[in-house]
Amino acid sequence: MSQQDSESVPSPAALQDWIEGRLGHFEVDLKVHLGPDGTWQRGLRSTWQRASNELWYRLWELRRAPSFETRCAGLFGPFTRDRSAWESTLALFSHKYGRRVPRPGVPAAAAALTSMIEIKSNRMNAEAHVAEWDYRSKALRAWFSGRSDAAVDEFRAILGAGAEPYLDAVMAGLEAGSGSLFARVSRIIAREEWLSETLAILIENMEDPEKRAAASDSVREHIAHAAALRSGTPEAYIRPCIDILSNPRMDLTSGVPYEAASLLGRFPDRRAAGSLIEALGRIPLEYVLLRANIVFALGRLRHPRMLGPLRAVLRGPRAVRVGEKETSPGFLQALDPEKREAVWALGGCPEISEQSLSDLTRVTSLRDRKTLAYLALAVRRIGVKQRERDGHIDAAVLKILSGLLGSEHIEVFEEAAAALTDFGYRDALDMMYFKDFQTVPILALKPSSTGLYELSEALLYMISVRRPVVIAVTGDSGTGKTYFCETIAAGFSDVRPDEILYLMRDRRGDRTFDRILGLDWLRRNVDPEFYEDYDIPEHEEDPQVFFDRFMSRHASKKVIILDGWRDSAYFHQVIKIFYANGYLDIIVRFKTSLSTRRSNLEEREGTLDGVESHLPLVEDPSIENTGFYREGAVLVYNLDNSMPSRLSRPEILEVFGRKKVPNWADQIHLGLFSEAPVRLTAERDSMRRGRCALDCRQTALPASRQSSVAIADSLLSRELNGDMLHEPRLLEVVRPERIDVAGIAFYTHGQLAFRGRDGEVGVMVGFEDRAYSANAHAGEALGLAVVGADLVSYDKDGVVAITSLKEGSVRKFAATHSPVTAICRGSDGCFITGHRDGSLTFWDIPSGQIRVAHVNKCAVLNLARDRFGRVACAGPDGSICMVDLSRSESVMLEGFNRQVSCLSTYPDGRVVAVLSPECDQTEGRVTSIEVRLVEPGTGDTEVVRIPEESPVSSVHIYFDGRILLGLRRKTAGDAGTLIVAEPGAASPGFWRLAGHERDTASCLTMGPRIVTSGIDGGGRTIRIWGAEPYVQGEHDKLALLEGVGTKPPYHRSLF
Amino acid sequence: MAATPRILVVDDELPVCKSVARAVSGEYEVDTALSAEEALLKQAESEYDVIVTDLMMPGQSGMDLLKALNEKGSATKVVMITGYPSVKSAVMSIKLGAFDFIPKPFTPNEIRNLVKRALASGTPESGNGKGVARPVVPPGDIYAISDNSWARIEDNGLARVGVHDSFLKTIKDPASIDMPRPGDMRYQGEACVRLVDGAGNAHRVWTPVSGRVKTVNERLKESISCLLEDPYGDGWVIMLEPTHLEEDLKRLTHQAR
Repeated sequence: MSQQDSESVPSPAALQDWIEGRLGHFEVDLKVHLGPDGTWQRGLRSTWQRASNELWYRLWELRRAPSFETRCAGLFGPFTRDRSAWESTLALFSHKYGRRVPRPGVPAAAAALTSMIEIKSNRMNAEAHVAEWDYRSKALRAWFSGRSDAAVDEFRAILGAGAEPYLDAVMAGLEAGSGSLFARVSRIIAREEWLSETLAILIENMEDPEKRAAASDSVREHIAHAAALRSGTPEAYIRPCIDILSNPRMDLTSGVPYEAASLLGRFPDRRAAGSLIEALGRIPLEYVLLRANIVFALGRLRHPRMLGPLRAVLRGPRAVRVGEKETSPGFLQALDPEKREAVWALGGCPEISEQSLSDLTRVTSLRDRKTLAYLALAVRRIGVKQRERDGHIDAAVLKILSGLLGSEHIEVFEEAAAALTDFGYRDALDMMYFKDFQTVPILALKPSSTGLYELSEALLYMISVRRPVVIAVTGDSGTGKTYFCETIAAGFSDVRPDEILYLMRDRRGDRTFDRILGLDWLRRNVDPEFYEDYDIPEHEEDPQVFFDRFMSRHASKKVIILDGWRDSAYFHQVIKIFYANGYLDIIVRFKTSLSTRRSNLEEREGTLDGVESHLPLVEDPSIENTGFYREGAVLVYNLDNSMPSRLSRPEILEVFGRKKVPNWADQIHLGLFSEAPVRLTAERDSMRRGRCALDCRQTALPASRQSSVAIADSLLSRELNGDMLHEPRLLEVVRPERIDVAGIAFYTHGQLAFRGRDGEVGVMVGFEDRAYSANAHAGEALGLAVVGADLVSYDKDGVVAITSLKEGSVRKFAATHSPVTAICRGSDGCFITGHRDGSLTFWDIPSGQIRVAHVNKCAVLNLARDRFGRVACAGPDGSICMVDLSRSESVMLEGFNRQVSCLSTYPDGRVVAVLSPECDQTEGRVTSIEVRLVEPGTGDTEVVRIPEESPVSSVHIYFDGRILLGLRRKTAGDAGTLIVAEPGAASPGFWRLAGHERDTASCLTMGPRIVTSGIDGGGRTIRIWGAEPYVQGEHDKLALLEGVGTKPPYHRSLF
Repeated sequence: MAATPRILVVDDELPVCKSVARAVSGEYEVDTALSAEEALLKQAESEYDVIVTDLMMPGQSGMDLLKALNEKGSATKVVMITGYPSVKSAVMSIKLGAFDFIPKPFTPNEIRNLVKRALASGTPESGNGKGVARPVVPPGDIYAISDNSWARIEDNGLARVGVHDSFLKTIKDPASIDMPRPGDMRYQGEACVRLVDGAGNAHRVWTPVSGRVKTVNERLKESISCLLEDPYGDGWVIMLEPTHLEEDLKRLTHQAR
């Protein structure tokens, strides 16, 4: 550059070219600053040099941003805006560096800008707020004030009267034109300088044995506080933390390097890479967590230079001996954490990790499930990269994945399966089936991208018919619950934010969930620190009253969202209370692969500590073991919210923005039949009632024997209804191979539990069209209850068996006080049996106790439990006993002249007793079925009398009050064996459906489907029914798929 | 047809819907719907030139949408997106009047070409510039996947397979053909050959009946001129030994002699 050039004002284009030229040679990983001559120089000893480094690093970060040129112009423009400003800039430069750089040109502007940052940062510190008592900080403030004044004095000395106008104009220009970059860099330097002064003394004190502990604590506290900040200037801690980590004299046991590494992981900064790599090479293996934190921070940087050190970690020993002394052999410390983090870090950087395949292969011998899951992710990304680039995948990748597919850990299997799906080998996966169907693998779940569509339709429909609609969103920590909840809580479709009540667990200051649970419950189940500021005295509070008031206060809301990780000690109980009170409408459960959870948590928490403390927060009990899931009374959306399946915020809002299917109710509920029902006359009656105390005896569980059983699997074949003209309500017939089904029960959405005539019990899975079963009894299993994931059954000898298909075991209770004659599920892993001697047994398997209550004069032949936990039982004498174990009382209802054939409970709390025609002993032949709905509190009875001579085999109550009755005929006929009755004080009625030819032995509902099992001419079958519009629509779709082995996701859970 | 062709993409999976819309946007006015019901409402407001719809959706299916459009006498061309398992039903949908179908997964280029073909098929000036200007009348006794491919059952039981003239006319500058090898198995609804146009775009021709490839028309390897000049005669493509003939023929349109 000529003398002439150096003195002429640089054009904006020349400035921009120069800046980009400098950035092209900026070595981010080195501690460099831009010298006055415009060359990069090592060392960050002075504030000016650190300010230069900070400025150029931030510019380097922004170099590809659309606003880059504007920001550069804003930063350099004030020095070159006119000849006067430029001459002042040159004069300042010449005074300081004239001897070294006689013809500066553009570097003069860069040097002046750096000086301005230094002045600004000094001014910020000079004006910092400090506490009145903090004399040390006051002194520091004064020192910065002095530095600021000295700089201005220097300007005055050079520029004379023009100094202040120049300074003011440049400062104003920088603050206005740089898009906050100047202020940000100045703030970082100000904070860093202040901090360095503070930390320097503390770190010096750490070398003094007397002050070491207090100084270490103080440094750790400083850094930990900064790492926890979401606002402020945490970047100011980066250089001090780099220095701490690079300091070979730093005491590794002090926890200070650990905190420094954590902060560098929390705020990834490329300038830390060199120090992290150096520290990893220097710090001994026994500092396992410190090293894992360093690997974590390196992984967040995705730095190409990390490959070598991470490969070294993978190649290193699996354990190191620690604490070895003459007197003690010490112990072997496993190095899994750093290896796990190394695998994860390599997975995040497939561009370089491909070279580490041979080292990744070594990891397959580790047993840690997280490491293996991360390994599957790492090789998945490598494979995808290879396929994109070369069109093929290294056989080593497939070899690793095939090994991981056989893992006993479901997370590992899921990651490996996801990899194969990404590679385009989904067909191979579809050929597999999952014997462990109870732990539903992600592959069997609906992806969020389609599931949220269905949820949006269901939610918009429900809002149109009731309010408030209560939706619980649950899942393990880090599955995206809150992201989803916050999105819809901001309003969707025509639902305004103020019409939505969003309740999130652990939200500071919100005591709603605590109040719903009550202090007494909290005291018994929750750590006191969580309710220490609970402000209601125990004697003044009644959780049920609070709940009722809460619901009435929010009765005008359209939606109440309950968001939280569902743990048995807290949030699960909250949801149970909503459910028990009849207010829970929808459960959304998000599940993701482990890698998605880890990525989400890493994004949210930022530190390895945070990730590791949240990863274990998984649902307990698993959704499959909850009443909401097993009883089928609420809509359950069990969705795969892993990375490729999830919807973004705008996508969620678009999907929830409008109703897309007008008749969605027919897709989720049993619809209306096209023809009018046969009308009946409403009748009323009254039953005698007597209240009595419950005599209940508690003992240990009877003796039992547990044994392993083989789990058999067999196919189900489906046959679409071929005669829609004559039977428009029948969708399809399912024929189980090799199983003689005697009865069915709801297991979960898309799965049916069954009991067989040959003593087997099992589950039919719609997803795979397979049945899994175990032989639990020598003869026919007479009754069945689904308790958690287990199947509880009994046989003619009264033997009770608990079958776990997951564990392949049967636990048999041979001798109870009296043979079992009826069974039903209880709550929370419990079940109830009725006995020949008129007693009830309440089985509490988790606690190992039973309670026996003698309630009936004769054998208990029918049992039913309502959602409030009360149990109704009936025997041959026509009486019904309603037992409330929690209150230790029972109510006897008498007045029937016939034996109760079937018993159930109505949604409003009434008892439904079905009296078959054949059971009449006094009036001779009776030609009607009586369905009696009895109010246990008063004995008032609504009677629905259906003209029908055949006995009733089964009853099922639909949530809207319709009653399904299965009939048993001696011979096949045209009249049908399935009745849908509609009680009602004004005008009851009923419809006849064909049912099974001879006997509809069991019936239940699954969303819009009625599922029955029974006897036909050709044997026993399962049949699926529905109202005409639903059946027609589904029939058309299934017809398109006829003969297709693999069902598309929409049909996966069709039962 | 409007000055700028209007396309409606219908799929219940928003990401799929958006990516298809993105693939065909640029030259056309593109709209999206998340259900068949919503698509019908939008179509009622103003007709689209092409509807690209998923076959399987909650509520009404793509087939229901096609039927509803047929009932209204709509001139809109329907392209059916289908997962692999329902290719046969997609063949059926063509019999019911869909323009064509595209199995998942597909590339943006493939869906773009298909939409382009659908739009070209409706214009009087459609033609490939290389073939005959006169209209080619298909001979009798062929079984066809609508305007895509045809099969004729020979006396020896083999199925002679060719490409429909109307399909050829929708391809600008057909340049070459990729054919299977004898012995390869092809199932109904799968691509049996690919026609590559001058710009390098591949266009799939569907297998009308499932079977093993017995022979291929070697002349086409040298030049595809006979395919363009005599698509129902010397321009036949492959000869198949059918495996599921009776079942497959039910889904095809039969043109009697």
